[in-house]
Amino acid sequence: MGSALIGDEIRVSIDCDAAIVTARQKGRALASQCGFPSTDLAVIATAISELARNIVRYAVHGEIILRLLDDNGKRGVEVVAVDEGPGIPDLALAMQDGYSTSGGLGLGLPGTRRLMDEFEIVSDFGKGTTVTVRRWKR
Amino acid sequence: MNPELRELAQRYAGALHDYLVGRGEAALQEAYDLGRKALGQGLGVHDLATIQHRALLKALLTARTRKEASRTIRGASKFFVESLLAFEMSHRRSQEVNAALRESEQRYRGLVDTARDVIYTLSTDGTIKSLNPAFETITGWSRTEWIGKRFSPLVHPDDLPRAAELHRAVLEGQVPPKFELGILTKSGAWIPGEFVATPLVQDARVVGVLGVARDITDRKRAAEALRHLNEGLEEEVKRIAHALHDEAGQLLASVHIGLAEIARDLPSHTAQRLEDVRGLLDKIEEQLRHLSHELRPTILDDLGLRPALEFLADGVSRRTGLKIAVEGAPGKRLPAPTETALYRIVQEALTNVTKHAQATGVSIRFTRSRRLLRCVVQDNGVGFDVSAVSARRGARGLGLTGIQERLHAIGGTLDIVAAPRNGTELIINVPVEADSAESDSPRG
Ligand SMILES: Nc1ncnc2c1ncn2[C@@H]1O[C@H](COP(=O)(O)OP(=O)(O)O)[C@@H](O)[C@H]1O
Ligand SMILES: Nc1ncnc2c1ncn2[C@@H]1O[C@H](COP(=O)(O)OP(=O)(O)O)[C@@H](O)[C@H]1O
Ligand SMILES: [Mg+2]
Ligand SMILES: [Mg+2]
Repeated sequence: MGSALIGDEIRVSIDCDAAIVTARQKGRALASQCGFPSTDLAVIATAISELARNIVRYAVHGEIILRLLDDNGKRGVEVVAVDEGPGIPDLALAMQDGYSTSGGLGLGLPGTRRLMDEFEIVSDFGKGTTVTVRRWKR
Repeated sequence: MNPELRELAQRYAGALHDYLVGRGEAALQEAYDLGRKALGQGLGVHDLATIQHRALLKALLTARTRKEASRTIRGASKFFVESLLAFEMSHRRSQEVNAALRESEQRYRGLVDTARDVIYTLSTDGTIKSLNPAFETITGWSRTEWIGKRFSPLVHPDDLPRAAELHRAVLEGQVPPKFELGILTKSGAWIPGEFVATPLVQDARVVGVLGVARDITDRKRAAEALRHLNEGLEEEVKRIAHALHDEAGQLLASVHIGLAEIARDLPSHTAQRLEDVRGLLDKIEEQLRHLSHELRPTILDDLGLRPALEFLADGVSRRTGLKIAVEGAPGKRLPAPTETALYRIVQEALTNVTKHAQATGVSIRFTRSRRLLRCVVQDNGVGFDVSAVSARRGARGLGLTGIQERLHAIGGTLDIVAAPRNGTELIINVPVEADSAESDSPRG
């Protein structure tokens, strides 16, 4: 990736619903620093909600890492959700709309992919999951 | 609204309130969760828009200044965006996959087709562009008879100017409060419809009106029946009040005379004991008089609402030690049913304050604009959890319900702003005739 990281990263430990709120709030504040319009802030907060919710539900605890990016003058925000939970055995299945192992909406992963500009997911069954998403300022 | 929707609407209004009073991100997260929940329950953006609309209206009622109102509107729209994001997440799917688009359209169609309310769209010039099947069930017309025609012949001639005004307002991007119009059915009869209309937006331009109309014939009938019942009760109360005041009063007077006569024939130490009894009788008489006046104050008929409420406040104050201030003026005389309803409502509100609030002071404030009379009863007591009390259903007191029903019958609304430890505020809005040159004289 050719994008440089600006400033420090923010880490929020995720283990309960209150922590999700904190992560949203920090993400929103960070993104508004680099001038995202308020609808984009809501989009970023939503992605954080979905990824953090998955951590709480499936991995019990983990971390959300927030960063500001600069790619040749193009600015953006990166959200990384890391956990060392059970991992996802079939990624293709998990990325399908409506697929859920918990009776949920099955909207979190595919929905977040649609909301954000970039989406990467790495999951080792038995070792944990890392989801990285980015949104660029238009 | 069905119970699921109502619960969602209640939580939404609560979270919006939290957000507006500064609960920040936690409230926004709740907004998003509610959007997600709505999506999960198969509700549409449209349902959420209705919920948002109601919650916003409710929030606006408590705004005291124009600045506060516009802050509320700005905050509420930010909140709304947050709740819509759940739909946004699922919506993008339809942009990616065409098949999914069709499916979701069908699902939306399904919703529109099975709705019990009429859902319609109008173009900017007032031509009917679409109608759902409920239109046929409710009005008896077939949809093809009306699609492509102007909406105006369907609206009662008396309501037409207002309908046109509202149409214009919506095209300017406003979302007016719920309104009522008389609607023509195929049989030639008129039915009352309650409307919610919102701008139909495409590519950031208002291209028409999207509206939902509900047949409120049954509700009107029930309200009418209730009004009759209340009027009947009022008559009965009047009779009892007079009986207490006149007949019981006269009986007491003759007891007095009788006692005086007996006292004359008794030895003086026994006569003294009779004196004590007469003292008690005086007190009873005084109490009876006050009670009969509060029961049905003739002041209400003779002098109007404000003097009657001052009399009531005075009595309650003396009995309970509560400081009660009556402020502002209800303006010109109102129709008798409205004055009676407001008197009874304030009476019940004061009873609640003495029973539940542990307050030291209450204020009763009137403000009147051209077509609206607002009465706010506010105490500085312990407050209560409004949603918990409304959820009590069966085990719930009749007071607040009674207030609501009385208001319903005269077209008014009740909003309760209360929080544990923060006092209680009842906000009562009643539509009134525009202030005209009506006289201040007593009613016959
Ligand atoms: N961090 C995670 N760890 C383990 N499994 C996960 C994680 N995130 C998602 N999953 C799996 O992927 C599925 C789909 O996730 P998602 O799209 O968010 O839908 P939902 O959470 O509604 O089930 C989940 O049901 C779960 O089985
Ligand atoms: N002014 C007030 N202060 C505190 N609590 C109130 C007040 N008004 C109403 N309540 C609460 O609302 C409940 C319902 O009131 P209401 O419908 O009048 O029934 P009731 O007075 O018979 O209990 C009360 O039981 C009380 O808990
Ligand atoms: Mg999920
Ligand atoms: Mg009561």
